[in-house]
Amino acid sequence: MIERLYVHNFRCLENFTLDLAGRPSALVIGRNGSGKSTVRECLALFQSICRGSSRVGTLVSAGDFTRHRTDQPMRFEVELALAGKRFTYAVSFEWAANSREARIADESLSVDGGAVFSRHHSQVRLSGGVTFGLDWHVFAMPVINEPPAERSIQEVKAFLGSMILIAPVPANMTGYSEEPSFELAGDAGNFASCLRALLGQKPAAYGAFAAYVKSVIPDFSSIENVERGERGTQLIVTFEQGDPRRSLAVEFKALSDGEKSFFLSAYVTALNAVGSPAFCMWDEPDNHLSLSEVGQFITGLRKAASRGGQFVATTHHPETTRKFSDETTFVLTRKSHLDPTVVRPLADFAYGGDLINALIRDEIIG
Amino acid sequence: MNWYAPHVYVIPEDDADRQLADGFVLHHAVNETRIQVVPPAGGWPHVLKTFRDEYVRKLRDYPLAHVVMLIDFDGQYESRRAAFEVETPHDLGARVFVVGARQAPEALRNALRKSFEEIGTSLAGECRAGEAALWGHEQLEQNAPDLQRLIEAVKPILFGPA
Repeated sequence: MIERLYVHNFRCLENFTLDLAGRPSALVIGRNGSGKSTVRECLALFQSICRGSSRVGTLVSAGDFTRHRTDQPMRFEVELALAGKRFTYAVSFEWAANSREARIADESLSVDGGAVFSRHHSQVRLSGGVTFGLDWHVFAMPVINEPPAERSIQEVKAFLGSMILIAPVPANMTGYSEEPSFELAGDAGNFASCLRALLGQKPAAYGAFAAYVKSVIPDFSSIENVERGERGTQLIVTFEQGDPRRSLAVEFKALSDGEKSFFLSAYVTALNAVGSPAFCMWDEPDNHLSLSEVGQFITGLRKAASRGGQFVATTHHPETTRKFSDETTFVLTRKSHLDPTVVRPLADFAYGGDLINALIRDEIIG
Repeated sequence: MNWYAPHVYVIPEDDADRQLADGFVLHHAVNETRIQVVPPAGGWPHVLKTFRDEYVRKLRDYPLAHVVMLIDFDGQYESRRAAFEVETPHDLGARVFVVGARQAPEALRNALRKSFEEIGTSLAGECRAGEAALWGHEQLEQNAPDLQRLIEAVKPILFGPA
């Protein structure tokens, strides 16, 4: 579970802290441009590092420094609570004069306060005192291998690398896959690959997956992969109402955008149900859903996360906003494009009357 | 919501009641497909009006529908309870429930030092377990007669199989 995210000098985020401690689920609201998606992009940076991206230049550009302020360091920190231990991974970047890309100023990982490794510029120091040099533009996290008895780096890499950080584009979710993957893409376009990987590794997940889909699409019967071409498979969804002789099989890509969202939610729910609790940040999960479906959809994701996972949503939708409490909602505000994002829990706002009316009147996020 | 299966609508008076109700639904054992918390009505008279204008007909059309109105009694339990009884058609009374805090949920929150959502989840847990520690709090104890009816009618819907 992510306990805290700290970001400094990255786009609109200056000295920004998101405190998620004790919150299996949370909502982030704010006007367009307030920084909601930027929070997801910060997490995506950690995700990329832990999935093996080793060069800084592929993740950070000069334009990412707040107001192009490359003379000051950019810093990211994430605190995690995993299996009873507290991990902190931090990395900061600097931009040397006349340089064409950012380089690493500092990088460190600690567990329960003790250093696993620390790094200043090119010098990396491991917990046993061993030091070695590394290219200033290459992350240490993906390249350090621990002794077999040590698992700290592996645990952090597995958690951050498997985070689900999505702003789904249902049109890209075709249901076609060529190989399994546990790394869901930001647009969820490789949904079929990820479902294939989950059900291949943990077939028991199908029960939770199908039960969820059936709860929201009552005539859902089954989903299966059929061979397509030389290397690929295509997801086929079968619907039936009572009589198996009267069924309808359709390719996944023929489903509506909202129905694809349900299948995506079923995937997240199944992940949590089979003991692979995931961190999921979903940009506007209510997109494509009908009004009557939003509440149950959000509540379902919140409940799935409460089984050891974590779910963070952003939204402009009133029904989604109502499915979170004042304590689990964070409000991002920003006076102008020249000002930094400010984050406050909704509980700090003394709004009067109905929350949605207060939001419409701009009394909270204005 | 499947209108042809047993289901429950909750009409909260305000945002505090809405968070209590949503916390109830968040309990891991509650079947969220059988309960819908609708937007806050904006005061108890509006709860009553919403019930009268929108839900009396729904209860008649769908015999498996139930309505729970979550209001603040503002220290006037008897008179407010009576106002709702007058507006509830006799033939629908078994599927209509009015519960809430003796004063307002804020008093409950301040006394318990928990969020509305956490209180709602705890209340659901007690309903499921047949306990009444929190339901017996001085802010909630007046609900006892309705609560017994509510648990008998709604528990099998919300805590039963999906």
